[in-house]
Amino acid sequence: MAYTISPSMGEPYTVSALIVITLGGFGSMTGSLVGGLLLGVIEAVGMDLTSPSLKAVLSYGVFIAVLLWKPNGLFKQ
Amino acid sequence: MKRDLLVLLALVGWALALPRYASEFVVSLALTCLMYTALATSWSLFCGTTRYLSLATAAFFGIGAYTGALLLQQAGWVGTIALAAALSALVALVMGAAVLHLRGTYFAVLTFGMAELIRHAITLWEKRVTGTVGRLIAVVPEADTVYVTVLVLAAAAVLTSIVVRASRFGLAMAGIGADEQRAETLGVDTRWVKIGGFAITAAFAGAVGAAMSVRWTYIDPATVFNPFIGFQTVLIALVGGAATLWGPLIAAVVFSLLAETLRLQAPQVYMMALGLLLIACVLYLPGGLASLRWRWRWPEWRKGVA
Repeated sequence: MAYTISPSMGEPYTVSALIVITLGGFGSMTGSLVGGLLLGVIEAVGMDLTSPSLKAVLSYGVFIAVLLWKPNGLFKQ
Repeated sequence: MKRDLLVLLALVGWALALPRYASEFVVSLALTCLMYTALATSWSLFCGTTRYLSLATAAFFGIGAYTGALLLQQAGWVGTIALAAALSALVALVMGAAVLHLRGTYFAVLTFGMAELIRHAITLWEKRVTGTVGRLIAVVPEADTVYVTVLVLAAAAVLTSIVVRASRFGLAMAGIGADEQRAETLGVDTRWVKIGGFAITAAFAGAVGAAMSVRWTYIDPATVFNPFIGFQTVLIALVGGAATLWGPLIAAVVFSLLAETLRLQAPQVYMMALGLLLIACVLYLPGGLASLRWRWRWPEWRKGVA
């Protein structure tokens, strides 16, 4: 796969990273790791099972559901 | 409070007379100023005083714009604006009930996530169910009507701010911003105060969205739910001074002028200026642009303003 390089190429990842960190709980290394894996796998499997246009809805939906269930993230001490 | 009302009256009178003698470009520039004034003032009404940083403005703006596009033909102009405000407030009630117990970064990121979820859900809905991408707005009211509407909304936002600041409700919000637990101990029903404040903010954003959507004549989720609308509102309020009454208005004018003069000639310089201005304000002027003058000249005014 080839990517073009541009100053704004990091923008989507900034948002994803912030979401993953919040999902895992601020200050928790394990949380970020598990949160990142969880979101990535759910996104990929979900897209395979349903359709690619659901990708964003799926990841934001999972993120909001988890935070409503555990308001301080998954692994906040 | 009396002085604030007089200043508001003078500003509204001046803005009302503007289309009579200014060129079309100046009027459209003033419209942008008014739009950001309404958004930033209503945002800081709740988020500035309680320090709940909401990034969901884009969602309410978009909901308003879509309401406008779908209902303009049936409901008439004023009815559409009112419906858009009501619908946005309703969404804010539900959203606020779910997330307003979270504080700080969690609240900010979650409101951003919800705004994005709404945007993608509507995109998906359009793709799957209605089979459209975006909406055309065929019947457009006159430019003067739009200008006066947005002016009324901006004036209403400032007026609401003035009234709320002097009321029990406003004091409760300020108390939540200073120390939420203490406010709760002192008998403030923090839950309903927060949800109510959030709904007021959302109603204004929705109404502005509905009023501005007709300016574009073609809207799609990517434009009206653009997260940049939310970011820019927060940026303006912070640079102007989110805890002050006139700060967001001053910053909205500064930003709109900057945007119109720089964006066309040098878009990169515009973005860089935006970033530098924000960094400088956060580092050296935490009270915002509004604190400049009051700190230098009229220290006794700070009591009435801050």
